[in-house]
Amino acid sequence: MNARQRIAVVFRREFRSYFQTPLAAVFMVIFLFLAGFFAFNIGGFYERNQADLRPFFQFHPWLYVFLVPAVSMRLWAEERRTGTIELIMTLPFGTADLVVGKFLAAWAFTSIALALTCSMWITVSWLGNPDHGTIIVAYLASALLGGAFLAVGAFLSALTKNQVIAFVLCAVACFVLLLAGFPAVLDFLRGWAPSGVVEGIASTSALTHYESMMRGVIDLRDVLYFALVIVAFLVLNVFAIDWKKSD
Amino acid sequence: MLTLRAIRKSFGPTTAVDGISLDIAAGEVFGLLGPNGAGKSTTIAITTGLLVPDSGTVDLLGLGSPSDPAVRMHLGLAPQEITLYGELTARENLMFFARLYRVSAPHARVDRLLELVELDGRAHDRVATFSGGMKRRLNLAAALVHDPKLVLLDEPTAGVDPQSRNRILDLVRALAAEGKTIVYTTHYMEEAAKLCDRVGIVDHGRMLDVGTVSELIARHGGHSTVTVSRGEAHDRVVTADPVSEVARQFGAGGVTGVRVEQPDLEAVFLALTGRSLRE
Repeated sequence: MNARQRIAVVFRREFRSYFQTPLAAVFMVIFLFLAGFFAFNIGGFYERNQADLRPFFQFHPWLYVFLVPAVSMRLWAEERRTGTIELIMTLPFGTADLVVGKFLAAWAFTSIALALTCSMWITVSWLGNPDHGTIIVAYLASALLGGAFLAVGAFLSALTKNQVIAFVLCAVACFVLLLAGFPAVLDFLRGWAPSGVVEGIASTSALTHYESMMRGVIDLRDVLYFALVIVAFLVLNVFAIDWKKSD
Repeated sequence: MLTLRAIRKSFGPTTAVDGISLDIAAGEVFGLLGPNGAGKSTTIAITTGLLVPDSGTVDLLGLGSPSDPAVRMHLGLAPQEITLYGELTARENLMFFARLYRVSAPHARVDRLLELVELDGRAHDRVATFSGGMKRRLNLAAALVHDPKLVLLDEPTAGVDPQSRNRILDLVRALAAEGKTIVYTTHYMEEAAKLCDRVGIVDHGRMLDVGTVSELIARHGGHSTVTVSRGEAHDRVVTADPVSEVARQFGAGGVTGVRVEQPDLEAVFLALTGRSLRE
């Protein structure tokens, strides 16, 4: 059995498990409600008189800070709490297949939630003549951001058997990843830090890369940033599982 | 089949396993008998590759250490904790592991295992709705899904009702009859006595002695006690030859009752550690 088949088996089990508990329905309802609420009530979707989805996408990072940890917190903490990690760690293959399979399932799940917002796209297309390319890239950016946050959360979930702790750690870590590119923070840094340092900090921020893509431009550096965050935290996840597998 | 050599494992200042060595032959049912905290589960965790020993070596089937995934293919573990997905059905749980192990004809294998553990009638029910005994049996089935050569059963009857316990013991006997090598940890001496070809007595991380139950009793159990009743009077005689003693007492006449108490594994444990197994 090759790695791809093993990942597929883990993916299927994990993905199905979301829909065997109320988690899927609760997550999707909250996500769709909040995404709509922010877009219409705070983003001024109608008031702007522009046929685009910027008011919709601009709040995704802040939604993800709280919603993605709700998905990622259970990835490994639940396996640890129920003891199933003991059995799956004795399976005749390495940890990486399990880590990738679980991550991909979580990413697919959040991506489905994101895809369900296509009614926004349909609405704006009906109301005007939006730039569909920009919207597609913004969807890609949102999916990549969700993936990056999930990878961070999966790693942190591997460090504890307490899902609440996993949730809080992930929310804080994602918040820090965003905050590093938040204009107010960068303005504060510019007051005393060299510009190189400020630019360096800004470049580590998920917000900087997300907003860059949200404008409809696929810059390889932005895509690479998200890919790097995902891969780096998945590798850390593998190390964390191997390190704490007998706990 | 399984060889442990001078295994040591410490957790901070606590030594969980202190130089355990073992040779378990193919087809043998080997019991690790000791109280809670004796180091049995740590020894099992090292045997499965879940834990890396501080020193010493583990060899399975002459293939090397279980830290090698290819070696782990040959072992099946039923951990002390229930390690099943509660939101999945019994069948889905077994199918998940069968697919990961790339079992050929997984549906037939899973059906057979569900029959074996007498859960075929609950195959499509969620595990979360099962009793403790049913979960234990399914846990055991999950360990067998890939037909391993070595089966490690860590306290498989802990916390189950007598009916499930008997079913599990019958299942272990059936596995032994199939020629599986079984390592069975327990703190129930009667289970070890009933099931195991050989027993290792473990305490404070050390292997105190290994042998068949009769060998261990002969070495450490002490003598039998013959209690002879003559009306209201009762005499207790400690003897190495209870048959001769009973014959002698009957020869003396007036015997109204005789009770012979033979030493058991409890006596062996008491002799080896100075305390009861259940303390």
